[in-house]
Amino acid sequence: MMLEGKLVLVTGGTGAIGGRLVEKLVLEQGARVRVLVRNFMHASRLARFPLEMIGGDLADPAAVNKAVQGCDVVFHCAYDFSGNAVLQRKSGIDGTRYLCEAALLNNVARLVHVSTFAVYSPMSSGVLTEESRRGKAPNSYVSVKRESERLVLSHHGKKGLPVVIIQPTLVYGPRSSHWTLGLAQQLKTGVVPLVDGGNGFCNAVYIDDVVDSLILGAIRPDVIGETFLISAAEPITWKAFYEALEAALHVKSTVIMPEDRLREEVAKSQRKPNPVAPLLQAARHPEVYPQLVSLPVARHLLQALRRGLSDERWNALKASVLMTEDTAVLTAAEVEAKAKPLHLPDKSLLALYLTKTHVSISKARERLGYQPKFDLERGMDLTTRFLRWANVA
Amino acid sequence: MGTISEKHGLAVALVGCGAVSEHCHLPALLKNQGCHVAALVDSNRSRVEQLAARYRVNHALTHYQDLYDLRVDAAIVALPNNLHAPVTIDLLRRGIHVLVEKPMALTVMECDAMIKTAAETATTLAVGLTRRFYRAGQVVRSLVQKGVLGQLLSFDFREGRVFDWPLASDFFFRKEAAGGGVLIDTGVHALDQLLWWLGDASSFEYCDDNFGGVEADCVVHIKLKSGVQGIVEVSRTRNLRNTAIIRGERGELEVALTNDRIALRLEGVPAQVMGQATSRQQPFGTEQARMDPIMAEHEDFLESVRERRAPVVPGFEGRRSVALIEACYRDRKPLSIPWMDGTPTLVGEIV
Repeated sequence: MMLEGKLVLVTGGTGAIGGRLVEKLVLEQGARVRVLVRNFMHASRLARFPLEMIGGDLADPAAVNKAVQGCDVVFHCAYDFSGNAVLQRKSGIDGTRYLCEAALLNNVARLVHVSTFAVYSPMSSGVLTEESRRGKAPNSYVSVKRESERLVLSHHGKKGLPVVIIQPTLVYGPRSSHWTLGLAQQLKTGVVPLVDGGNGFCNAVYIDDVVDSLILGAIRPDVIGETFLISAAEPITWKAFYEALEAALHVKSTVIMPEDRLREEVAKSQRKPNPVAPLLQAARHPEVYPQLVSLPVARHLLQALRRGLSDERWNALKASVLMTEDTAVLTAAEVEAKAKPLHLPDKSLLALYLTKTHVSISKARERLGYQPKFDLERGMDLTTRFLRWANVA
Repeated sequence: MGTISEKHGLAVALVGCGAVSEHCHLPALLKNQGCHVAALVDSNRSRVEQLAARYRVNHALTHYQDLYDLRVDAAIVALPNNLHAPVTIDLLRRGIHVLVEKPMALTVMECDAMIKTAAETATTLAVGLTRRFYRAGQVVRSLVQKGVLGQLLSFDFREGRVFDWPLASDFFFRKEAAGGGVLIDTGVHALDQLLWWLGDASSFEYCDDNFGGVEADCVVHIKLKSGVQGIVEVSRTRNLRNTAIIRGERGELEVALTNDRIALRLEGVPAQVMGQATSRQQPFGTEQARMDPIMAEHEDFLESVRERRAPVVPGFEGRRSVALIEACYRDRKPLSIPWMDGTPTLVGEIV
């Protein structure tokens, strides 16, 4: 099946993957595109194309059915991260069910469902394939994605819905909200700790490779009911990935941290915040500190403490206030470095940092005809151009 | 013809009850002592009735022609862009003075018809280029005219925000209704500011990212009749600097495009002057509350009706930016998209 002239529905068209898919469907495939749009505020980029926008939410079966009517192919790229776990389940699982039912009702020739390689969490080191086992879901994103895969496959198995599931790894590139813009924001504003020398495997894939695999999922014969992992040709290290982003942004914000120290920091960040901490932080500022200690009341207090405490305790107190073992007041540069927030990984990301998982794309190569075109250098070159254009770098 | 009802000030109708009417015009009109809102008009009955009930407006109409039966002195036309000209002309012909939202119309031909009708019917036609009421812009124009920057060298306007207007439908993005994308929506302001401050354009090169819909990003390289060259870049997808820089032999001005912030940097002076343009009455060293330009715009419109004088932005001023925009769309080139391999082309013809 070719897509030229076919009516194609895209959900999630205002997002990075769906948006790039729309571009390629119109510009390269000559498809007639329809997009289900929940919030027109985000539709500026879609509006550049001669396409049809249907206002509505995935959680509304009538809107979904209206959007699917007359379509030959449906690409289901939408995922709503904005709500809480309950809302994510509602739009993620109910929305997928409505879409499958509407696709059956309207005799859609192919439904391409965008999932994630995270459904195989927690991952272990070694080769990961579509056959790898799935442990306990670490978060609601993974459980919603697993449940939607099950729904899609059961509509195929029981009712004959022609589906293909694509499981991309970490998608980076222009407009990628998490693995490009989110990380860029962290690298620009704070310190990003990496563990294990940053030598864990990072299975990143450039957005255009993912979008090409979605199109293959729609047009390739003999792949119905199949699931495909999609990544770059080879994994890279986290160090290489972050260094490439740092180069794009002209910053050096990563630090290598031993695993136990990082776990300690993560645990510390999850403890109740110390109400005095912001005051202490303000007091540490090189312009504030001398003024503060010159106040009579502060001077008396400090003198009293100095007299009352042993040398050891006095130095410990000083160190905890100034966050330094050194007795000298911090320099402005040191204060600035310390004032930068430490962007700690959550549990799932820490697990990704530590495992040496090699995502295999053999099945996609053989059955889907998928050929990744972007290695890190080429993908990051285009990403850098985007970041500069978008005023991020 | 409408009669001027002195008792409660001018009777004003608001034609078109979209986001700009609800969030800008209506609140400003309700605060204005010189007028009262006599009617709201919108083709969406439930919306117009809801707004009329909320703000206690007597008449909620779904057809602007129904205004003819009411005693309405003036109207603010805030409809989709393609309706600006026909509705304005109809209202002017009925003797109703009009403040029409920007862009004044989609084409020069429409602008000329509007201007002609206003002249023939002796009615006021004002254009809602609200930024003409920013004091910083007024300062820029005066400083440039007085030659403070010396011979002008170049200009550089960058305006971009990730689009965040609350939209109920895709109407705003439809070419036939909006007439275009970010250039005609936001760019009309920036281009009007440029032409107002520095004079009309003699040639240009325009590029945008439209593939048969409406553009989200565009760049215009412009040469003015004075010979000065520069760039105007407008975006709906990116946060840009949102200022204009005007460079001359003796220094440069940087002015915010959407508020009263302004900076003057003179050649050979190691420091810059930066701050807020305020009214002359503002005591030295104090900050002025943010001027509400839409209230100033309404006040100017109502006063021009009452005193039968020209408004600050009459039809021929609104026409200037429309002329440039119309020419830009006619001669558009594809915008180079740096992360897409090669210049993308559309399969089929560009609409």
